[in-house]
Amino acid sequence: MVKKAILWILVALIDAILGWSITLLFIDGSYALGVIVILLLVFIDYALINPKGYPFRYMLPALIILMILTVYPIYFTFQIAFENYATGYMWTRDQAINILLDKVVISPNPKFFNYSVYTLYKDYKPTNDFVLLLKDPDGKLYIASSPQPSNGRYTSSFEMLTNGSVSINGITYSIVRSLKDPSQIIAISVNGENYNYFYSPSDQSTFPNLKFFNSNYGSILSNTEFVNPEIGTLFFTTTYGFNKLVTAKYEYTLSTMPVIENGHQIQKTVLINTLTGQPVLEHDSAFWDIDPSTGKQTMIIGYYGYIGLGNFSSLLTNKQIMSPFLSVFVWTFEWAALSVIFTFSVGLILAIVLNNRNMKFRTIYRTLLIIPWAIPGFISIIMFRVGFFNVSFGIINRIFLGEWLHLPPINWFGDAFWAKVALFLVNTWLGFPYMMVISLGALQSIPDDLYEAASIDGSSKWHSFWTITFPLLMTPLAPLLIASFAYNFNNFNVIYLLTGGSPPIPNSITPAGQTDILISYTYNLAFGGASGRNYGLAAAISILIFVIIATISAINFKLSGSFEEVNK
Amino acid sequence: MMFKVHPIRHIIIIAVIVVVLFPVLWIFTTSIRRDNSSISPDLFSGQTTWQNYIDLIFEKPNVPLLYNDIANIYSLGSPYNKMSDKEILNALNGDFNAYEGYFKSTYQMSNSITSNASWISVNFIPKAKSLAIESVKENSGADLRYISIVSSDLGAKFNSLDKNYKMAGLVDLLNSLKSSPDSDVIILGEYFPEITQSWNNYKDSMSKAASALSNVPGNVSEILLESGIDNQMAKDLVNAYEETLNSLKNGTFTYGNWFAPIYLRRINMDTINLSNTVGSTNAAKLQNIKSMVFSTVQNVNSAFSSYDQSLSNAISKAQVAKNLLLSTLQSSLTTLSNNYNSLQNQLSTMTASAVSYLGAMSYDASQISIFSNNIVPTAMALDNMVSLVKSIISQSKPSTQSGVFYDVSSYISQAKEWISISSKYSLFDPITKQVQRILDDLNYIQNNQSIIYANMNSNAIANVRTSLPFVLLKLQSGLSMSIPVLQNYDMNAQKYKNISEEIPNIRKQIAEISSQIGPIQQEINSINDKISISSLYFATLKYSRVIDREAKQINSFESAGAFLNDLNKYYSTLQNSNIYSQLPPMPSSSRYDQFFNTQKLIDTVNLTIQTGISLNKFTDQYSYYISHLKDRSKDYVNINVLGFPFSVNEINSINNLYQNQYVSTIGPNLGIISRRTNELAGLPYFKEISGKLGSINNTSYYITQIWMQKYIPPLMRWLLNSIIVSGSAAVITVFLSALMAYPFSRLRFRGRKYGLIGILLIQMFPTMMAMVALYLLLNFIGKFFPFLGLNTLGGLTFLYIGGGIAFNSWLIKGFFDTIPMELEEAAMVDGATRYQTFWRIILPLSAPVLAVTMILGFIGNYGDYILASIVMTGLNNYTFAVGLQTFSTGAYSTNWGLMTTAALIGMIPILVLFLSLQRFIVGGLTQGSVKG
Repeated sequence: MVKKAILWILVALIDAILGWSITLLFIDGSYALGVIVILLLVFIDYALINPKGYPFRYMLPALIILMILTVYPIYFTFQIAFENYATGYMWTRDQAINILLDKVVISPNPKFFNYSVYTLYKDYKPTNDFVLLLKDPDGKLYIASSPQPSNGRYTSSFEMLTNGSVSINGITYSIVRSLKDPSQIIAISVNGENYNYFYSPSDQSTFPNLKFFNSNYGSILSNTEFVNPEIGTLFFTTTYGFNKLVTAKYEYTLSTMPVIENGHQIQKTVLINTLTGQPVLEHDSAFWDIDPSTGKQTMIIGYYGYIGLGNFSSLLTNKQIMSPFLSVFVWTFEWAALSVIFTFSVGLILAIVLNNRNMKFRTIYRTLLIIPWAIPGFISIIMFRVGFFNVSFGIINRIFLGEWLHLPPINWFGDAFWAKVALFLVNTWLGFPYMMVISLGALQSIPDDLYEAASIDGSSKWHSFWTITFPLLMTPLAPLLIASFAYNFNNFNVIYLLTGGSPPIPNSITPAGQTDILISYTYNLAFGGASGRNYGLAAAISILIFVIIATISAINFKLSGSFEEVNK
Repeated sequence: MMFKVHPIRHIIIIAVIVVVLFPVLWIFTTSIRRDNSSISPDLFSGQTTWQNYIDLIFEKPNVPLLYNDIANIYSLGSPYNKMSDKEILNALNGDFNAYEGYFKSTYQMSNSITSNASWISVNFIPKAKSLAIESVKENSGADLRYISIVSSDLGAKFNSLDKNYKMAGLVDLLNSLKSSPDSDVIILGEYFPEITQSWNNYKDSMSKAASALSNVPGNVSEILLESGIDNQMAKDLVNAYEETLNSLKNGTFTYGNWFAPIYLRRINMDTINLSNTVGSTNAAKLQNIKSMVFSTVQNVNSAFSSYDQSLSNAISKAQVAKNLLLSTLQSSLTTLSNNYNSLQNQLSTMTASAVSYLGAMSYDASQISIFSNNIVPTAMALDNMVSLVKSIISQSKPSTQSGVFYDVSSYISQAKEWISISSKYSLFDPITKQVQRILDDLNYIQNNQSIIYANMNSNAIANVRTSLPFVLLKLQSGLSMSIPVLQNYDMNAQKYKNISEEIPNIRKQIAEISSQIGPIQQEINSINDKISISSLYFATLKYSRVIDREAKQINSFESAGAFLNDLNKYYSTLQNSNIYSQLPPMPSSSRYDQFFNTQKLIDTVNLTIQTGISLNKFTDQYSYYISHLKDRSKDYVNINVLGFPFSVNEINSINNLYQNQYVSTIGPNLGIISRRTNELAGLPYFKEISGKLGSINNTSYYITQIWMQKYIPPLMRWLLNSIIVSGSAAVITVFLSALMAYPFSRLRFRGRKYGLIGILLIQMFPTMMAMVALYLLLNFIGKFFPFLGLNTLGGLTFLYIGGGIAFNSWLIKGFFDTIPMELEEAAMVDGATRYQTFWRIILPLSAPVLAVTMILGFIGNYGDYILASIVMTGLNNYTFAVGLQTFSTGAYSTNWGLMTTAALIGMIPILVLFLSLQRFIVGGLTQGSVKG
């Protein structure tokens, strides 16, 4: 019974936490993640409550992490592969609209208003309740009421003072002048409460209050629209900061307009450019201003969204994307295949030389030869790049070629051929020990009597290698070689840390290099920096890589019998 | 495969191992090198140090780093801005104590190098000097022999020359004598006896003057003594006379050096001044002596002048001889080469204009091809019209009616003009043909005006009449617009033709001139060769006398140096002459190394003593500032903490001191000392002091380690980050994976098969692919759980766990499958629950395998670069892989010592883990491979 109770409490607890998370996620707009957490919640409840779900209880922790860190990212990748998520299109449509609605534009003939802040004190400390006294260029005074929040922004009304007082929204404001110096307005009385003079950008004596002003009022004032039916609207703009208020207005507003859609006239909410009075156009995942006189359109802001197979089709149709992509694609296969061939041939030859039980120091030799594999790859690669292949300092150019052979230096990373030579040299060094080890294992499993029989039949060593050893080796090694191909297909570290893909492919609008493989190309697209980011295209190529790798792996599983293991 | 083990196998394997492990060897040797390996011409270096390891592992700040720290404290930079004044004072005191230690050891080491250097200077250098002198004496014989061989060799060559060549060769020698007269004029006796004569006269006059004036100083001092004058002026006058006499005696007298500084300034002035005090008799005596000396010296000077004159005459004679040989050839060569140059200029101008004409032509041609678009349709239309007209006229009867159908004469003339130009160029053939057709048609119309006019009543012809003007208008616009282009083309083509006919002519002329230049140049060269034999011969005569003399006089280090200096001058004269290759080979160049190395030793020792002294002074000043700071630190810190930013002058003074003294002189000098002492210590003749030199070398290196500006990255922090992240991720991953694997291995349930396939699929999707998503995800999670956000160890650990679960679950499921079921069944019969069998039986049984999996996971995570580089952005949060990259980029990429040390420190733990687990790794792989 206690156990049951604990179980229920656990379920309740988990449900509560996850429920809260789901709410947060939906508020944040992360619907996909939210759905995944809902699925998790259902699954967890099933596993914990239903006795049939017993096996799943073991898996829960791992599954939660898998869902969040593997399944969701995969889903996300698939999603953005069909979106134009790239530099210039980094917002959602809603975010883009909000950005536009927040844009303030200063009026053509701006009028500037000086202002002072009057604050209500409580226990001798300033509070967040304040009003503004404005002064226009002619010296007329206005009172602006305390900003009130509306729709994530703030609004305040301001009215001209007549005879030292004014009524705004039914509240009477009147100014209190200093008795000693009547030009000084020391407070504003609102319904009997005095708001004291607090801060003005033109009065140095109030600067000690600047910090409080900035941290408590700044964020409110920078989002406040000051409204007066005759004068229009005033803002604190980014151009003038908090120095003065200026006549300005929101550049875009939402408005409903009759629009003809599918032959029916309907009312639709559109953005209006308040300067031109023209509705903002929306096409190609972006908002466009239209100049009414010339009809010329200028893009204001882009947003990301579903574009179908756009990313995939641009890989096949846009010449400037296609041709570098094709060259990267072809080189990736060459790279993986040749890497396997080089590492395997070196490894196999060494394995054959080492494959003799009578050989002295055999284990020592093998251990020494494994060292390149045992060193973390990134260390070796960085050492090779900086110490060996650097064009001016590297010891190959400087000492081997320069001092010893007196040959001209090789432009290792500036010339595609030599960059590839460097890559193969390093990758062979890194990869042959693995091949040697697996070949040794496979060689040892070939029974000796086969060779004896062959030698009795008068077959040469060379002949018996190709007729006995090699075929027998291939049976166990084929899946491993294919796996190695798949590994090198995505061997990001060698490419990225050694050549970084250089030399670049000329005339490419995407950041592609002549030694870039698909995965490093993808990385450049997503994180390349200089030429902008194109997450959408990167994700599309990721999916392509996934399909290729999955195909290769499927073949491999078939060969190695992993699928049977599933059915066991 | 049982072969006999042939030694060749061992050799092959060992060779392969050497090649394969070379990078590792390089990393190690580079990490302990003391010199700057990224620019050194040697692959390895004998100078080693563990300093890089000490710096990276202990991260103990040296003086400049301490300075940075205290400067940071006084400006209240992070993290000191968040500390209390007590903590700040503690930190400051720590720094000051460290400073004290460094000052103390600097004094010690500086005194040690100074005392070693002085010891060498006192106890060894005299010995070394005498040994060096001996070695120079010993070896000088070979040079004297060589010079005499060269001189006889040259003498033979010289004797076969004509007189003019001999003369011409004297120009150099005579010029050198002109600038510095010496007794070597004797060698000129054969050619210019008058010079030798006048030189001897000059010498004679000097010795005569010397004997004539021998009593002068004595007399003068007597006179002065008599007058009772014994002041400085009197002494100076006597001295001046003595100097005059001595220079005459030694034969080093020159009038120019005597007249103004000695005579005018001292003898003349002092005599005048003293005359006022010595009384009139003595004054007259002094005056007499003065004028006697002056006239005697004048004689010497006139002898010198006649010598100088004869030298000048000889120079002009020799120059005349040289000109006689060369001038005609030279002037004709100049004329020819002037012609050659002007022709070349002409050619290049012409080629350039030819190219520009061609360019203009091709531009015009392309224009015309555009006009052809206007002309060709016109031709066709006109053709059709005319054939229409023809067909109608052929059916009609001849008529006598006269009239004009349409006057096309202006078009005809245009077309003719067109053709007249275009027909010249086959390039325009196609379009010319068209215009020809137009012309034919127009001619037909023009010739048959009346008959066509007669048929105007035919509809067809009436139609032609209406549309003809339009066609002709088009034609006219095409032709009239293209004719100027054609004319332009024609003009350029003509010019081009003219030029291209001219160019071969000029080429021919150029070839002719250059064929003439060759022989003349050759002749000049051969004459110059002969002259150079002669001039080298005389140089040898002169130098051999000098060197001979100097070789005999070697008795001190300086005289040996003078001998070597002249020897060197002579050898470089030989090497620079163009007949050097025809002379016998020189003795080996390294035979005087002992002397030069001794010289280097002396310099180095002096530099060391000097540097030691200035280092002590520098340290005195530095520690003075530090003690100042120490005394006032409390006040300074309090003022700062109270929030009044306060600039501390001592900080700037220290920096100025350091920059002006250490960075500009002491540091570089210490570097030179270290390098030179290392070179010298290896020499056999300095074996005795190699210990001292080695000590100076090491000590000055350690002094620079204290004082040089260094970059010490927080490598240990990075390593720790890597170990924490990789280790905790590996442990958690394996634990979660084991939990996940258990039901897949032991239980049968709905969804098992698809679950397994799902896991298989998921682990194929490389984490790299999902980087964008993972980045945004961590960013998102970090808002709610800051310890899992971006740039946190937790966040990276979380990613590694997520990346490893699928693969490890699959792997561990395989292990679990190999454990027999019977054990659990037995336990369950005994009343164990499912969970208990997992916890008590399966886990303990597979513990070793899980441990190995964990370690492999650790190695894998440790080797990740890319995720870490995306997630970790703060310097202190870097993992080792990301941190190592900072060594290899930017300003530090040539500090190979630190880079390789860091690499080695980072690789050793993994290397050890991997090699000690190789049995499992290799076993697991082979099992897997053979199983298939």
